[in-house]
Amino acid sequence: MSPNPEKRNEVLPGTLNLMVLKTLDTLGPLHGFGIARRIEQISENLLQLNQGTIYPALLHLEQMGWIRSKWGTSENNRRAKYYSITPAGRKQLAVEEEHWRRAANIMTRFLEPSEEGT
Amino acid sequence: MIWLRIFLHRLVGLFRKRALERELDEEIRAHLEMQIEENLARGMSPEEARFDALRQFGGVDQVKEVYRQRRTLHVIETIVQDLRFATRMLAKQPGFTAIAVLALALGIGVNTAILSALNGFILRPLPVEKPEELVATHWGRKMDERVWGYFSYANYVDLREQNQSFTDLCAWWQTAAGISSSDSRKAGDSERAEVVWGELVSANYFDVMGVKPILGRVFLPEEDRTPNTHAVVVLGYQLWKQRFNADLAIVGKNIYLNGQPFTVIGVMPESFLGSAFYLRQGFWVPSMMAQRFGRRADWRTDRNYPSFYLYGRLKPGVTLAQAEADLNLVADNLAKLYPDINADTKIQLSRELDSRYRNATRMIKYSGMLALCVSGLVLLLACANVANLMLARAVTRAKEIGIRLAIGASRGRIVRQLLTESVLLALMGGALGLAFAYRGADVIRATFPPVPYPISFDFTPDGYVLKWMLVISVLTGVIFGLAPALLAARTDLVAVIKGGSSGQSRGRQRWNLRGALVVAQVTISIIVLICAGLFIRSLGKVRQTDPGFATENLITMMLNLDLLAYDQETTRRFYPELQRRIEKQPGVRMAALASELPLMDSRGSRGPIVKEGEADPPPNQGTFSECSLVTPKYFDTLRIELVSGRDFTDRDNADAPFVVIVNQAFARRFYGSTENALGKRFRFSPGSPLMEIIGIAKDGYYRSLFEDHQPFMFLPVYQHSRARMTLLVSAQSAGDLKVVAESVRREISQLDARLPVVGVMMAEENLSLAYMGPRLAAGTATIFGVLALVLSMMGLYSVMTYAVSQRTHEIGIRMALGASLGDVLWLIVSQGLRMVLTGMALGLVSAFALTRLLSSLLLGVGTTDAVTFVGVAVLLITVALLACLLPARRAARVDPLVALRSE
Repeated sequence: MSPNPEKRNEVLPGTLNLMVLKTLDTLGPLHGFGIARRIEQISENLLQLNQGTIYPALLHLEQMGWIRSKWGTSENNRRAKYYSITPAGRKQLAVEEEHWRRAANIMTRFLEPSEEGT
Repeated sequence: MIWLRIFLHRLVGLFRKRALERELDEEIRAHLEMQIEENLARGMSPEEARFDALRQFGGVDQVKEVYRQRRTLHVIETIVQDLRFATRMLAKQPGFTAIAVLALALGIGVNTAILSALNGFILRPLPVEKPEELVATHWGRKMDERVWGYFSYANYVDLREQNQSFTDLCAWWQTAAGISSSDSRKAGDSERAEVVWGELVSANYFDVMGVKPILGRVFLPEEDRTPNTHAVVVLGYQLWKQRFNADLAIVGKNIYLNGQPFTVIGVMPESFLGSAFYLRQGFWVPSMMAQRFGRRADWRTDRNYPSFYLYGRLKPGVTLAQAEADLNLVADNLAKLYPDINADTKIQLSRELDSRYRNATRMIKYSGMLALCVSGLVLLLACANVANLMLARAVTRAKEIGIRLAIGASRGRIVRQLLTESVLLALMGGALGLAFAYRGADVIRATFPPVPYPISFDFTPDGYVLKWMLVISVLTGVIFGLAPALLAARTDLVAVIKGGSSGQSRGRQRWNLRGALVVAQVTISIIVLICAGLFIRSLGKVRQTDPGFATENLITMMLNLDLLAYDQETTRRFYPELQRRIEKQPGVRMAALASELPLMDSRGSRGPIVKEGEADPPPNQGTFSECSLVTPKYFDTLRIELVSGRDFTDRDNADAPFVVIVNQAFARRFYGSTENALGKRFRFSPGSPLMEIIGIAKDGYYRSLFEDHQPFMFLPVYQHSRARMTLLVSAQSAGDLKVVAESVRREISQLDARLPVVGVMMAEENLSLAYMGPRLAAGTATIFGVLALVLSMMGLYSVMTYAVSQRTHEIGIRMALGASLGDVLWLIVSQGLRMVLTGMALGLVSAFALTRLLSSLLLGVGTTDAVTFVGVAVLLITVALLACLLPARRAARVDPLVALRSE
């Protein structure tokens, strides 16, 4: 089920925060395991993620005030810590999305063949 | 603001550590279980499911560690960790800790004591509002350097009104008064008055100084407008507490100063002593009441009557230089208006702190700085000692440190942990040193001579001193701990963990460092010991110096008739009568009175001197001479030789021609030689009568033992008038002194029971003020010297002991090969002597260069005094030999077989 391990990319630093925020924004409140699995899913397992690294990232996001946490019960009646995005977090998400689109745009222009000249 | 959020978050994390740790555990466990469930659903076996979950998670402990680091203020956590570990390590070796703390306590304590003394003497600001703004004024003559602080009232008023630079200028005048509980003019009243000191002040005084009363109020402007109208008084705290029992209803009551009633209107706070930093005043009265305190009636109008000191506060934005220029403009203006008196005067301003001791301030600051430097050297010695001990300890801890490095501690972490140990040691030493400093304060106070002024110094360490001591303790910890810590963290891992004697090669390198430390210690000790030696010799020379009068069998005491508000006539009759009665007492050889005892805070001077036939010099030019007013028999009582001419007699009174006796220096200065001077006449300008020189006295010292011989005049007190005199009684033999003093006091109270007698001094006590500086210097320097010697010898001893333990193997071989006891002793001792001699050479050379800094403080001893240098060298070698011999003897007792077997 998992593709060839050598072909997986490592998580770029700083992007994990963005992925977590987007996940919470899209799916609503979720626990740590759920967020990690979702990220793996979306990337179709092209991303090499040590699931545990999500927790320091979640702590950082909580300290910055972009997400908040609350203990709740999971589907299987298990006690789990649920995270949800805050209004400040939504603002930050918009900012970082814009930043990424612009960066991707610039890189694409560089990597595409030039339309002018021979 | 984000960082503030994060900081607060982490601060909370610090305190809720355990709870948050549990939560994290639970969260991770839940995560793993959910992954395992998923895996089981996919069909894996339980073991496979668990293994796969862990693999996907990554390293649980690593994640936890990263999480922990982000969660709390990591820095504080590690500091707390380090502290706990350091405490445990130090407690494990109580011997080392005790010695180290003791050495540090001595070093830091001595510094604390000196800093407290400096603080108490000159650094502490006045306890008023914004003390740095207070400025003191001085005036001087344009033609020379000397300045005085006292102004006449008339000049004060003009300066105050005409200046543009001060928000206000206030005036104060020190005075003494007799305080009694009732109007003691009544007949039959025999209660002896107590002397209190106070100040006559202008109405704005308390506002300018910046103090508020704790009870009642201060003076109103109308209370200081017309003379002798408002008899009100503000009390000082101590007087109020001691004499009036802190009576809360004191405001409105009357107290009696010089027998006259004054109404109390307020009380000052405890911290406020008065205008002079070191004198505790008992009361303040409006300046208009000056006549009640013995001042002449024309004190207000006579522009030539120097009396008040002035303090002022500058207007905001005005610099000292600008204010000085402004006041000099006013002075020039006054010079034009009153040329006889104010011509050619200039004004100088200085901050209150700089003018505290007037001319002595610079000398006091200088000695203070020197003392601080030397105590800093002693602290360095202590640091070297403890550094030595830590180096030795680092060797024994090499294994532990190696293991910690292997587990993964960074070198920086290890260094930080070792530094924590040394700073902890230093802080403990500092705390103990504080106790030493408190004792030091008492010792300093004990050297003060019994002067009859209300001197009040506070040498106890206060906030300022404590703050500096904390800083110095931490710095000390870093200084002596850094090198050993850096060295320890460089341990070669593999070799140390394997154990064995590869510690040897490291050991040799450390030993050279320790040897260098010992050399440095010896160098510093030599310098400190030489300073001590020089001061001790100087003190000896000071005590041998003939002050110019005999103190053997001399009793002195001070009387002040102003306190009883005697008029001039009564004063004139009182002193001759007293002299007559005292001379009749058994055990009294002779008695006399003088306005001041030489070398006892004396300061009278008159002038300018105009020889007969010469014209008056222009105002504020011309030479003054120091002088003293004396009764007949003054010279005989003090056994001062009259080299020619005669003494004053009873016939030299106000109706007879004016006469004067001068000393040899005066005669030489004004007349070329002592023979020329006898019989000549001179006067003071302007307008005083001519006085004939009837006698020449032998030169002596009048202001300080350090001065060159200067001109001096003796004026007969019956031709001038004076209420405050010192009584001089020469007893017939040393055994009678106390008895004679008692009978003298009885005679005084028989003449007037209310007259207080202060400042009774006997024999050598009369020189106590003159000796105070040299005594203090010698005492402090000796303490430094002893400490330096002890600390450096401790260092030498510990290094030698270590060296012996390192060379046990070698000694065993030598003895087995036939070395004798003497050979072994010499082997060890020579090693020690090499260090000592190197240090000694360096020390002697440095001392040679550095001691010239002391030249202004030494009397009769050159800064390269051979006796001192040689003596110190001999002392040091002797003690060092002892410090080397003890370990050497232990080495010589080594059993060769045991030594050879040990590694």
